[in-house]
Amino acid sequence: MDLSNDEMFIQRIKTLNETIWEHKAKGSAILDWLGNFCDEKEKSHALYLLSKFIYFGERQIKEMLKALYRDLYKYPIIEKIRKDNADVLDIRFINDSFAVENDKTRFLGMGNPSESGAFLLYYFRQINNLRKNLFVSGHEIFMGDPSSGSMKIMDDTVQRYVFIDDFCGSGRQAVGYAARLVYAIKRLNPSAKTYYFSLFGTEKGLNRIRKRTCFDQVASVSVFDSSFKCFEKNSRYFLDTNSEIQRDYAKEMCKKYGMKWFKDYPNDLLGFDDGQLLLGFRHNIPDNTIPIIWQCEDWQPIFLRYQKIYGG
Amino acid sequence: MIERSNPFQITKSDDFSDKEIVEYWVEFKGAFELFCPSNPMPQYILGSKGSGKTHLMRYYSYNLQKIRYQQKNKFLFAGIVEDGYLGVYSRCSALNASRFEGKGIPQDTWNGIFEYYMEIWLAELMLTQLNEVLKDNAQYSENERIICTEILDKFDASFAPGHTIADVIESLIILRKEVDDYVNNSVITRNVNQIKIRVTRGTLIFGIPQIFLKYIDLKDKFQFLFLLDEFENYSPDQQKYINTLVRERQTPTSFRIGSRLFGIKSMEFLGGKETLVRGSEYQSVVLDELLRKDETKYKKFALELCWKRLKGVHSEQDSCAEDTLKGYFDSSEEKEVLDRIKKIPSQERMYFKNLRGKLIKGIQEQSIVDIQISDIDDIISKLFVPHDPFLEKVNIFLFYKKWSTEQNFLQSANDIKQKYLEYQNSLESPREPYWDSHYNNDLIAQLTSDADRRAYYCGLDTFISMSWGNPRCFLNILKEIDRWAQFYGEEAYTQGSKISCKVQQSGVQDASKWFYNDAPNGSGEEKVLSDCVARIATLLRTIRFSDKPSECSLSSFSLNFSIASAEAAKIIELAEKHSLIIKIDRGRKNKNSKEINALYQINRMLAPLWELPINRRGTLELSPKMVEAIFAKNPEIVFEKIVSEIEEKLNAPGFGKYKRREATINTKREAVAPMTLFDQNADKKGK
Repeated sequence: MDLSNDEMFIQRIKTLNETIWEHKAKGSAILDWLGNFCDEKEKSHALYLLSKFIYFGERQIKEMLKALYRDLYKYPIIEKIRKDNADVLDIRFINDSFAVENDKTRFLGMGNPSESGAFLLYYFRQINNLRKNLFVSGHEIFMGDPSSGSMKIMDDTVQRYVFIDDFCGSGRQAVGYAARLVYAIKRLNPSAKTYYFSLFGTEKGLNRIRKRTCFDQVASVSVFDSSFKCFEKNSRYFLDTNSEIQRDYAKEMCKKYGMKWFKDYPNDLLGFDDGQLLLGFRHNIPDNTIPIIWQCEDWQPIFLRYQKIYGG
Repeated sequence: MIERSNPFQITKSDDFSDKEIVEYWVEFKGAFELFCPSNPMPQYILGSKGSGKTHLMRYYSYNLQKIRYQQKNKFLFAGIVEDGYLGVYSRCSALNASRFEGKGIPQDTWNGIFEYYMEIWLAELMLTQLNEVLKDNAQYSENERIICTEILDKFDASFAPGHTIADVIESLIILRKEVDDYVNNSVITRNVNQIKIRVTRGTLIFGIPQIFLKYIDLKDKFQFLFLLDEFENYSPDQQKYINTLVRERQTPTSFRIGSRLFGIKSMEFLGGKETLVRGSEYQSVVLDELLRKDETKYKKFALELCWKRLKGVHSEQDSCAEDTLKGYFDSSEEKEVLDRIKKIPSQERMYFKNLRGKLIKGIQEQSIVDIQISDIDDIISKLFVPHDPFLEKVNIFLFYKKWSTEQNFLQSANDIKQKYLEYQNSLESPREPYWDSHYNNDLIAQLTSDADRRAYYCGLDTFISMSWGNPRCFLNILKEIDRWAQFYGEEAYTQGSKISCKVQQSGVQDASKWFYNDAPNGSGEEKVLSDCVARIATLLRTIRFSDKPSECSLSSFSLNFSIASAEAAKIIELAEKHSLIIKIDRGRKNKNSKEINALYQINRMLAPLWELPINRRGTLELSPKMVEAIFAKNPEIVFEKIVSEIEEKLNAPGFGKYKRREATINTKREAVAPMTLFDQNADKKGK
């Protein structure tokens, strides 16, 4: 009565598809995707990797947005209010004080308004029942002409700028963005605090932001350590595999196909900046995820990634 | 993307609303007449999980009676009178009966309280229904006051005034809540002394119907039918109380009691050590047994069940058309397997590769002496039928059979080829097969396995047959198939659509696994039962997939209970009660002692997990040692050893080694003494 490996993987994928994956990877799409691979051994390994894919659907993302607001933003402020007021327990006083602090805060999406950080703000506002005027875009922070040197902070009562991101992979994008915006804020309003909060982040990426930017705080609701890197020695994905599924074989297979698209970028063969992740969100798949999952160039992806088109 | 709904999603009637119970109701001609709600003889409705007990009992309940009258634009009172009964339905789990025990209070005190509580509870249910049925009835308005007085007179002491039935119901609720309060708090107070029992057992349950019948012109033989479901939730003492009501029953009250097969803990009644007498004091019906008995009727019933689920969801059919329903399922798997094999040259086909390997092994081990390795190609080529892999499998099967009894390989191959050619050139229509065609299914299963596929279980007829009198099993198979169909994006139950064999196979496997995990639940011996079933199924599978299966369509086994240990016998009975194995009534004659052995078939729902046949033909006669190795809790005899001995005996090249000693596995043609295989082996080992 034992099932074959492939049968077990398909069973697991079906269950994930019915429950967590919001029916995004149906059997027919899986068969199309498996068509990319050249033989049964590769297909088995591909199925295995897919059966380990971590997907965050709408419900999970909304819950994470709730947790981000509550755990990373609200509770530390309340903690400070209580600490500054002899551990006050008066709930009305705490709520009133928090409302005052909230008015001194502005939430921004990380990156360009068309990117996922900004996209999440809509849900973030809804789910946490926040007022619209607490949200600004990057250009609404400043006033004046930057070229004449007369630029200043539009609203100098604002004491907190909270940048929200969905995912911090390598951290490079946040570093680049902070170089343009966060430094300017700090220069024009040295007393203002800046925060980088993401729903998910790798340890490596978050550390890079901490080291290379002037954010006062960098944090993520969920942090992925190196065990989430698919082929690392301590990878959580190869703890209990049987002899037919081999980590080295799977890695070489992913690298082989990675060469199709990134032969000039050896560090990106297993995902941007050697991400090696098996991770996706309802709204997109990070490029740090192994490319066989999302590449669509001469390849049938199983989860589609919407590429950013840079330029202009 | 919006997912279409699975028409078979709900498989438990508990999850249906009253309206849905009516909507999905399917009559089982002949069987449900036995239930006959106006029949005064109390009945115990037994059945395995999912056999339809709750659906049946709810269907006859007052709430459902009401819906049926509404649908037929009938007045409530007229409908009830015409039906000739009022169905008072209650789940035994509803009262949380386990409250009435423990907490340092003597059990006989609890028993008394439980009886009192049930009396009030059932009276309250019955009066609430009657009050609704009779609300516009002139006789009722005229007599309500006196009816109330007579009901209140039934109590030992007056406790509340009441001029209307609503008042009486209100008073009963107060009494019930009073008991609830003391019982629930007894966990703290450790006593229930304040509870005052105000009415004698049966006074209301039997008395109220009599009072109503006296004052309201219902109908001759009108019956107040208490439908008590999930009887297995009661303790033995609580069951004894219900049995006592059954025994002391007074017209016009009767009972239908629903319980799982393993749920009857006592058939005794209070005040004696005797048990209820079947036939005179009650009848019992085993629902799935009843549904299993007549396969044609069950098939019709199952098709109707399927159609009711599809009606209005996917199917465009107005009536249940068997061909249409069957047409929704692809059945080309066998052809596909044969076509796949045909693409491979004969000498490269798996079964010939295996045969070659076994002949070489025999020659190397010197168990084959009359041929050389160089003869093998010639022998094998005589068995080739390149355009028909099935006939090649037949030829190999015949060759193995001959091999097991004689070693004239070239002659055997020539004989088989000659028989094949005669068959091929025969002008008869249909041609007479040159092999025992009872083995066809087994040979196809082996061929499928050779093609690296699982034995297939496809088509609506197969699903009906697998479910074997259990509607939930049938619906679960269809539910799992639909889940896979959705996963693979296959259209289902629309004109021209066919669910692929692959999807059917996956769904059937999932349904089998569900059954295997679910059926032993509640036994207290879940792991033991699962292991035992796995062992017997493994043994049957070993024989089915051997080179020379000793029996065809092997899915059953027989044993002599009188020589089984008490422990093994208990586990076998438990496995039967949990429907993992099904007892075949007529038993099977022992080939040596001529005694009638108990005969069991492994539940057909389990067949796909071990690729066993769902039909039954051959029987494996278990020796006492085998019984212990399979069914004892901690078998001392190593089961694996038994399996490997059988494997050796039924597979080339080792047949010869044991050919004069084979015994345990009797075949129709070989009458040999049971047990000897293992006994002799044991002796041999000892020497």
